[in-house]
Amino acid sequence: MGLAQTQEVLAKLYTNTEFRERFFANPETVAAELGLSCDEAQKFAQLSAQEVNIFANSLKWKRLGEVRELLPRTARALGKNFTALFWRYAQTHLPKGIKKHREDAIAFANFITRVAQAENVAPPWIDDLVRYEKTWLLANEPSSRLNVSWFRYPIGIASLDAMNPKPTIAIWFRLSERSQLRHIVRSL
Amino acid sequence: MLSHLPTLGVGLGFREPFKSDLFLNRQQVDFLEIVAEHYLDASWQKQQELELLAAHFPIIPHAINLSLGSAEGLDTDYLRKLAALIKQLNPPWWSEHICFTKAGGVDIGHLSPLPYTQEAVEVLCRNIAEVRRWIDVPLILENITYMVKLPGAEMTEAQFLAEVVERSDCGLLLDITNLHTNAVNYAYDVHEFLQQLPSDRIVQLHFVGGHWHDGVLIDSHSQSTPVEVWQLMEEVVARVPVKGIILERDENLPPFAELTKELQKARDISRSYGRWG
Repeated sequence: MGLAQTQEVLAKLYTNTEFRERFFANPETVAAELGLSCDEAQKFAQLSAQEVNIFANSLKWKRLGEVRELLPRTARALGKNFTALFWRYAQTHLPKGIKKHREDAIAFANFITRVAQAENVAPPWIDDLVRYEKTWLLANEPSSRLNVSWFRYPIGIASLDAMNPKPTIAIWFRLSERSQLRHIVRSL
Repeated sequence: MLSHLPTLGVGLGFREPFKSDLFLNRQQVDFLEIVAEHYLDASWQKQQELELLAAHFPIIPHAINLSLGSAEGLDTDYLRKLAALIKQLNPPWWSEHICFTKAGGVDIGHLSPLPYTQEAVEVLCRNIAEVRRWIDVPLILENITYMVKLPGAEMTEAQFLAEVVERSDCGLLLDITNLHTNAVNYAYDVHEFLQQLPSDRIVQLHFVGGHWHDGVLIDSHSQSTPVEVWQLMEEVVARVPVKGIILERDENLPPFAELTKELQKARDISRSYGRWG
């Protein structure tokens, strides 16, 4: 087995929980499924499950830390649920590219929205708050000139501790690619 | 080639939260290291920030996601952007890590260790040769920390690092905290390790402190520098005329005065061996 294949297997072990669990439950069978020879399978079987698990978890904690900084109000509103939801989300999504933390936060915001609707995640205004913070991330891109969103709650104005329904509009705009992003929120 | 590189002194890995303090304490910071990835595809505001920094400090770009150890080759889109940034800054050198961060379409999200094999040496040398077609500024390579020990090693880590920098004709960015962390976690003799490195290739040092978690020393860049790392710095600086030393603090940021105190200590160590004024 060449280095390229070794690295592919390692990358999958580090980032895919289901694959990692299956591999360490029966390394030689999984290695055979990957087309590895007996010798190669034995070599992989020498990997320490504990070390790989520690590394894999550290990768997820690192992502969580970055995402928490990019979605600070959502993190505060969800408390421990934020971490629990991120762990579920991170099972199936891996960000890529130069702006991967931003991409990760936007994809996680979409995940929270889906879960919040399907599972009635509290508080009731979480969907609005996630959309609001996601739009900030989208609007921060220099190529983004105008974003307008409607909300059922006074997101961006009211304190998270005193959120009552009130139709609210938020507008993000910049006059040119080089000008500062401006932001207006009004409740009706 | 490496001996002709300029001496930069003692500096900081730039992080946005201490931008104001940095400019208030300019005389205590000789140069800055920037995370190159923060300025690739940068907004106009980030470009302005970079220009401001470059107007006041020598800047060394430090890349983290080129994945020099990827056997599948390099991401040329990333490489093109990195080359443009380095061209813009025209630094005396730039740095990357001896590791891989991408494989099979997966961006691992962290620096991952390579097996210490001849094949990995070949891959690194091949990728570095490709990088040189884009970037003619000298490259220095950093040793990483690792939480996973890969089976199938054909040489020790020190032999691997030495062979990579010699074969690729690169400098070494010796992260003495990484060295200390790995030595503690994998119980090896750090002094013996140092003896195996080609000292004439050590251009720059990194230092900071980490924290303990479940009996493992974590390279979190979150604590003040421990005494063992200061001792290592002294040992290296006594042997090698390093060109620059960077404090890399990322987490749990202390008051800026604590950072400058550490910079002063590094400066005092260097001065005591006549490395710079």
